[in-house]
Amino acid sequence: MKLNDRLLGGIAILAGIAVIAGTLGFREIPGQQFGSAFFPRLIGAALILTGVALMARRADGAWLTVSRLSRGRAGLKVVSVFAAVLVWVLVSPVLGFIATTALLIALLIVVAGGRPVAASLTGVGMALVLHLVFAVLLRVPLPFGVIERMMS
Amino acid sequence: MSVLLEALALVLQPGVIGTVLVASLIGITIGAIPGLTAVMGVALLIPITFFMDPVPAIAAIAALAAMAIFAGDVPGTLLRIPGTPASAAYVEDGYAMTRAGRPERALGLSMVSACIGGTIGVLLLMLAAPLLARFATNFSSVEYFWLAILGLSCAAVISSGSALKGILSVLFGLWVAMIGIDTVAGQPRYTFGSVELMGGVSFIPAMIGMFALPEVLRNITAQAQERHPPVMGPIFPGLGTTLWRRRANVLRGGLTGSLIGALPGAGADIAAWVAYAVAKRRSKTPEKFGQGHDEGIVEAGAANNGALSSAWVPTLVFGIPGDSITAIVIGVLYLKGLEPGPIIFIRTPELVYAIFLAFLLANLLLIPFGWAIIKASRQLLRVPSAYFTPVVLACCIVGSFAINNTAFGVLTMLAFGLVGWFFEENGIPLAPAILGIVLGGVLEFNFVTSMLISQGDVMVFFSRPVAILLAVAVALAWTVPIVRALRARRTARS
Repeated sequence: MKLNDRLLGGIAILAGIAVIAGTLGFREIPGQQFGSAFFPRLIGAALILTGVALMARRADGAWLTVSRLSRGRAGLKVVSVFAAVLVWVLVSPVLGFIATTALLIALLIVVAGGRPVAASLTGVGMALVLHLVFAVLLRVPLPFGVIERMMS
Repeated sequence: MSVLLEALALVLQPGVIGTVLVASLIGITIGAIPGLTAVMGVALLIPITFFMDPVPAIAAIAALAAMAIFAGDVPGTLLRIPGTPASAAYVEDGYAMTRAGRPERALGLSMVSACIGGTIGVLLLMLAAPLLARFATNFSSVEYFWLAILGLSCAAVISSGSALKGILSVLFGLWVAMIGIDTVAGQPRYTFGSVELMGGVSFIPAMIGMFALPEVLRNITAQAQERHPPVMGPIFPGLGTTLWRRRANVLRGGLTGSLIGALPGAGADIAAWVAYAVAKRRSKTPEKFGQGHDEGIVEAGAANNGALSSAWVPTLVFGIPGDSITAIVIGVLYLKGLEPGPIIFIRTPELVYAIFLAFLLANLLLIPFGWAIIKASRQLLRVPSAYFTPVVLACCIVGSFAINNTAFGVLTMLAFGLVGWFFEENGIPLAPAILGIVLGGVLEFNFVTSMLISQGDVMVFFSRPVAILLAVAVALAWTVPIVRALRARRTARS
């Protein structure tokens, strides 16, 4: 999704206003000139100025172009990556790290155009390698589940 | 001398050497795979180094980066797809050699010049950093304020295509740095009521999201292509004579790269482009450049590895990163409780020298590892990207999870990945944002401290000679590109 400079400038101005508005609720410390709000307000003001400068430039093309990479099949792949991460967050506490990660890798390989058998092997192999590095060697408490129970 | 021996003892431990070897192997593989960059490799290594002692952690990062920057030449030469942006400058020359049936010649030249260039960078680092550190011990909050501003200005204005978009990126990073409880007044800022955000945005997941997720998306949407890497002959015969003939190029490239790398905000890719341009201007046969000529490969190949090492000069001495990799390193140093700056040279000099030695080791290992990857590249480059991209995504997930052992890290990674992707689509550079996130806290702290000392007088920022010098440097960083753009417009009109 590519925006032209004017739209980008507009967004920067709105963001600047939002950043400054966010400081209005901060506690003021009496006698303290440079409190919590000072620096964020400076950033907000700079955002607004940059936005104005972007809007003042000659417009470059359409307001919004959806690049070749995010249309059709490719767009579907982009969405599937984001969805896969969200599903991992939701499912891993139930299925555990190894099963969820193996499934994620295998399914995404198939989505990207790989062969199902090779995808499954890569998924299972890499999930086990990551489990070995993080859970066994580095002792990270990764989500515990079906396969972890069988292994322990 | 005793410091150097102590440092040597720190480095020559089986644990450290083993870590360097493993990191080198990962780095050389990541660099050789088209679409996976050195910065991404470092970002994915950070969660693992998080659990290590400082010396092996930093040695691993240094080794991975040095290997990946060289290995980026392998797909560039064989397939005309630069593995990392730093290899783009001389990809035409390398590929032309491949088409002429001599891929091993191009790769051998870039391997040895990378090793020499990197070593020149390390030597500069070893000489310059301690001297600068001695000088910097007198710095007050005013000088640190200007140094942070200088680093951000260079990143925003010089290193990106559009200065305005660079500024936008810096401002985003600075805003992210404000999130969490303000240490001065105890005021929560922009936490949106979330308890997890009280401590601020977790740096490692944010960085993995910004650098690695856009690469995952780019690779997964790319059209699958059949790749046919060429057959390779022996690498070493004849290499010595060519390099001896081009010794001036190697040395000049290493020096140019090292000097550019030491500037805050300019990294290996810029160094390679500048060195290539210098080589062409000083060459007797500039018309041969781009058609399989060795001068550009040698000079720029030495420059990008030189820049990689010398980027650590401002990083270690002032805490101001030289490029995106060192910006990540600064974040790691803070997490390890080592505040970069002149103090670490005084308090733990053996640690600093151990880092230098690890760097030297990594550059020397370039030859055996480089030889191995050149030999293995035919098989490696045949693996379709459909297989490694999902694996990279899984590494992103587990890495972001491992820092705080919560799924919130994974969601942070996802959110910053969306931002990184939006930035890339709109030509907004990512490196300034990371610098903003890393330097935001430093900038605010030194600004507020200076203002408190001076009781609100802005002139305090111009009250010391070094501060004035730095202010002038900042002013130059902003005016030179503007003047150049105006002059370019005038010549275009006339």
